[in-house]
Amino acid sequence: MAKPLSVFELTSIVRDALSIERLTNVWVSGELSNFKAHTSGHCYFTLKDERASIRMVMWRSKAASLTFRPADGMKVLARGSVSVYERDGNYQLYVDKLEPMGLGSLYLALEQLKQRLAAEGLYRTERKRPLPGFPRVVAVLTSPTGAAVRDIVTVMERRWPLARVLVIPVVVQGAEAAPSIASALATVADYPEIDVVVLGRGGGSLEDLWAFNDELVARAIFACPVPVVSAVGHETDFTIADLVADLRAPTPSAAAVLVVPDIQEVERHLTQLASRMQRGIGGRVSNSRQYLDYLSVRFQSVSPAHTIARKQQTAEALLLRMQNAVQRRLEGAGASLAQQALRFQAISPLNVLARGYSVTRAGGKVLKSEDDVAMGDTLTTTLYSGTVYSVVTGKEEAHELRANPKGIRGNRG
Amino acid sequence: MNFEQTLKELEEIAAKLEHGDLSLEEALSLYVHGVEALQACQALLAEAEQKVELLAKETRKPFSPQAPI
Repeated sequence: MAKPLSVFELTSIVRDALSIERLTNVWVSGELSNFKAHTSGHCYFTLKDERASIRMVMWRSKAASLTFRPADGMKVLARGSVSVYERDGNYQLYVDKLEPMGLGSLYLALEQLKQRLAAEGLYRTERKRPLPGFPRVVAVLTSPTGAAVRDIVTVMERRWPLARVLVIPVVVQGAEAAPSIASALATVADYPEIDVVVLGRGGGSLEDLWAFNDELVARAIFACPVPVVSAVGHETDFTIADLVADLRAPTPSAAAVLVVPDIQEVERHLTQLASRMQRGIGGRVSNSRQYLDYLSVRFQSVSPAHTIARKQQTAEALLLRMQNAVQRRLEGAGASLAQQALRFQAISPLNVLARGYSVTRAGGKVLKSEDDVAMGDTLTTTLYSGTVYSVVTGKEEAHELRANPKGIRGNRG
Repeated sequence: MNFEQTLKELEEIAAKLEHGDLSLEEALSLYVHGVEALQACQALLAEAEQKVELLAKETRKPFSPQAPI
């Protein structure tokens, strides 16, 4: 007999035996029972059908993404991998996804398609294109009779009447919906004036929205030459169209808000721009005016009028200096005149007369020579104290020469 | 007139007038150009009237969404 295995060893072999592809990422459907949501956040439950049951555990991290509230008796679809719980020696499914079973295989197919397209990169965020800021033509792909088109047109009219709306009618429900939407999306390429596409319908159950989960539609959105905004109108469930679209709007009205700017905001912006330009030019002009004032002051200081005024001032100063100088000179001259007068007085003829000399005139002429008179002429002699009149009775030439040459008069006989 | 382009141009003009070392002539002519563009934008907004068309079988016709019955 071979050496017996320990319980743990045996269990480990069973666990390894269960680690096979067929038991990994497997979908299983059944009825929910013994559902327990532990306070830790982990969920424990059993899935059963008429003939069998299997225990299941859903860790908190996975349970957090549950989109419904599981309850005993519900038909559900669980995805997970089978493994062994060594302590209790039983196998269980470790669940990472749990969905209500209402749609059954449809759900399964959808999940698979979602994953396939994700793997192909149809939802990549790098591929999402930015929406145009001011679209001129907005294509609206929806039913021309539904509430969605009315909502979109109303919102666009109010927000941005500059945009033209081109409604491309599509069937949004039933078997024809997906091909109809895909072909409308392909049409967009034929109208290069279209700036952005809104693809929408006004809500509905998951079955109603089925066309937006179609692979044809997903690929048509991906191929669309301009950004596509999905507006499928379902708050919680993301359709594949939502995932592929460049932007997802929760409702058609919200899509219209996202797609066009608000005219009031743009008007405010224009007003701001106007006042910014106004301030800008105002500042520039006032700078120039100040500079002009400065130049004007500088020009004044070098203008001819200014030069003349300055020269005039210099001239006046000079004049004043001259006047002062002359004044001083005159005053000086006055003083020397007085001195001269004293000197003149010293040699006055009156003083000579006082010393006993006299002056004799004949006919008003001062006599200096005996030749100036004739016999019998009347002479007038001025003395210091009076005048004597006499008559010439004889004359004689002097014999001595006089020192003053002016006074010399030779005897010419 | 391309509204978006004109708006961008206006933003550039405003920035230049605010910060640019422009000559007075340049500034004034830029300002005049800006005011014209601004008025064109405002006129466009004031006169804008929504045009809705329906594309059916490769022809377009005016379209007005029906109120729900």
